[in-house]
Amino acid sequence: MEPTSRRRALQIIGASGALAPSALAFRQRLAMAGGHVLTTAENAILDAATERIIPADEHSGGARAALVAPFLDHLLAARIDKTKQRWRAGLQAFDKESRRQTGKAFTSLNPQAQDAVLASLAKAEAAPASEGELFFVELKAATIEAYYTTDIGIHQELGYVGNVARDHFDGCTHPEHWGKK
Amino acid sequence: MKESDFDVIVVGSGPTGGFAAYELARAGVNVLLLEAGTKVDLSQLDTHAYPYELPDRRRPSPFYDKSIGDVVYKTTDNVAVDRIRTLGGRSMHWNAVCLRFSKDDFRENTVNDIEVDWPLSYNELVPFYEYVERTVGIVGTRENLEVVPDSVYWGKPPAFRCAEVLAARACEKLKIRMIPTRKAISTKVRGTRGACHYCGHCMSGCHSQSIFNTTNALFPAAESSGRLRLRTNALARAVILNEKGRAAGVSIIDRVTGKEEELHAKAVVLACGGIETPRLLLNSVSPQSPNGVGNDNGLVGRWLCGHSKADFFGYLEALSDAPMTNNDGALDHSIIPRFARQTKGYKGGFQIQTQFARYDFPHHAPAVPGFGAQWKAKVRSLAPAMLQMGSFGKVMARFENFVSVDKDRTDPFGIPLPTVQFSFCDEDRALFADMMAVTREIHEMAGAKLMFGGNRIGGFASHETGTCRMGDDPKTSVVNRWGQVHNVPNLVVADGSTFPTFPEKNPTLTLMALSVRAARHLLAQSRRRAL
Repeated sequence: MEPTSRRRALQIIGASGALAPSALAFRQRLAMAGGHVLTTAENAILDAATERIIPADEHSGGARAALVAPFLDHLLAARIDKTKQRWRAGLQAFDKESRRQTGKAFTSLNPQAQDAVLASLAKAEAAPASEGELFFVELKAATIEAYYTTDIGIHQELGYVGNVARDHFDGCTHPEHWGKK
Repeated sequence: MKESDFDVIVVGSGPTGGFAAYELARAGVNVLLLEAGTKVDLSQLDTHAYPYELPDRRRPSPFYDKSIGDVVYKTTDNVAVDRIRTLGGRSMHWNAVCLRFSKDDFRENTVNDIEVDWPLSYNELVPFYEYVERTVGIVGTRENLEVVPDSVYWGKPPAFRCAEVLAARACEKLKIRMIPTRKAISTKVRGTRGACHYCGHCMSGCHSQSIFNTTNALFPAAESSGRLRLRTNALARAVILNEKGRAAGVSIIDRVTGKEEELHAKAVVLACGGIETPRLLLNSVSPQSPNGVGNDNGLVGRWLCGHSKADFFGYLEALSDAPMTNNDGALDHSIIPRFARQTKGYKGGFQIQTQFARYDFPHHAPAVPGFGAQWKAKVRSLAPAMLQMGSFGKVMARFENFVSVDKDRTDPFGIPLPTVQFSFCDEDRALFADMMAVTREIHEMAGAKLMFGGNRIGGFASHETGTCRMGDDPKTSVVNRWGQVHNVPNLVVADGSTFPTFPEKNPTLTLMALSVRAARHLLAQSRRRAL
């Protein structure tokens, strides 16, 4: 009985755990084929800001590669009007802050200059007050949620190795954690 | 067999309704088990799918059937009650921690000078604990602790992970006891139960059926006796009384046909949980019971109680940057049983479970300040270092906290919704504050730097109890020590509604034991024709 049950468990997991990257990207796109609400200009700000929050680095792709902005736009489409308005106003606040500090649109800045604008809003992260500061906190949380639920976020970036069937669980195998040499 | 041929109707198919039906059917009684929800097939759950494979990256939760309707909350506290509605009830969606209550948990008044004593003792419940433990199967270790007596075990619990080892050593230094968990899971193939495959999805529905649930572990055996019939989509609207004031059956709404039907039986067992059982009794209004069945004294719904709870996260320096290993396991593998500091303004206790958060998401990311490449690297380095603790605190059973029904607000079937009136008292808040202080001390001792959570007292962790209080005096309680509604002896409450007081421990093992005890008493009385 044991081998059968184990094989079944492996089948269950195998069905979802080993898709090719292209198939994953396709399923991700499919999963957000619903509505979108942001304008092209708003989407450009969202895309630029989320990529600066979680940028690509030598370790893994960033928010852009993980399709964070289109996914957030898709989720926003299902939210109430008040939320949609808050996001629109928040993205505009980023742009306004950029124009105030640099005289240029947020999306026309190079990444380092975009970081400087975002850093000025992130300073008050623990106690945000202005529209831009409040939206930074909200966008950061949403970017985290969207990025770390993709295959890039879960597998490439975090290196998560679970969600598989095992026939035993060893627990900690480090004598030093137990206070032994 | 016609439905009128049933001896007993059991309402609710969760851990308590499941056990009552199982006990009665196996003893030769014809049982009709009513469940308002539907049967959820394991294939509906997508348990092992990654978030990016799910629509909007949300795991489906078919156990939460919207037709159950809302709850009207009258509270300024952060409390919520569980609205699960499915065949198997809460046994389909639980972490399976099984702890016996201690001797003192049954006598709060005698020992701590608070609340009331139960009308039964720990020793009276021991045979039922043992029976339930053998039936559901519990992994655990013998510890000989008075605060959480040992159960009968069928296996060993899964090993501690790195963070749990470091937490256990920190606890040792603080003279706090941390022990392996006790859970109703199977680590081997046993009959219909598969072996745990350590995927960490215990709460989202277990694909190998390693975790105990009534649909897999009890109903097939009970049905094969030929004495049990399950009926899903059968929403109980009211308990019917006969001219003698005895329970005559249950009026239900068939959710498929939308029609109301009266089902008759010689006895009725209610097992709908701490909110829905008082709601059903209060909605059972007739000329014989103008205030609802069992509510002549106005006490149905009173003493609503549940756990205060908090999630706390810390990230241990010793594990930062460690290579990622598979830590999923069977959620929490350890527990800090009842702990209390009597000098801090409370008389109850609290307990802490560890490591039941998912490992595939960085729960700490919002709490790491800043953004960008450095921030991203920091989030990555802390991911293997998570030490999560979820705590349950005792809440005082108080008359002022209660469930009632709102005649002006109804569910989609026209049945008045439950209203929850609740506030935490000063003692609850003092206990919660100390619970969080101790949680933080353990984290600090274990070497946590980044820490967050537990800022505000909340409840009830899906543990609602107390609303049909058990007692010997019909003037001050709703049911007797056997769960029989005072003056309606063939109507039994078998769920956690009957708890006169509620310690910090997970309630399920105790309420299953009480349900078996109530069912056997009902059987004995009916055989003696005492009903």
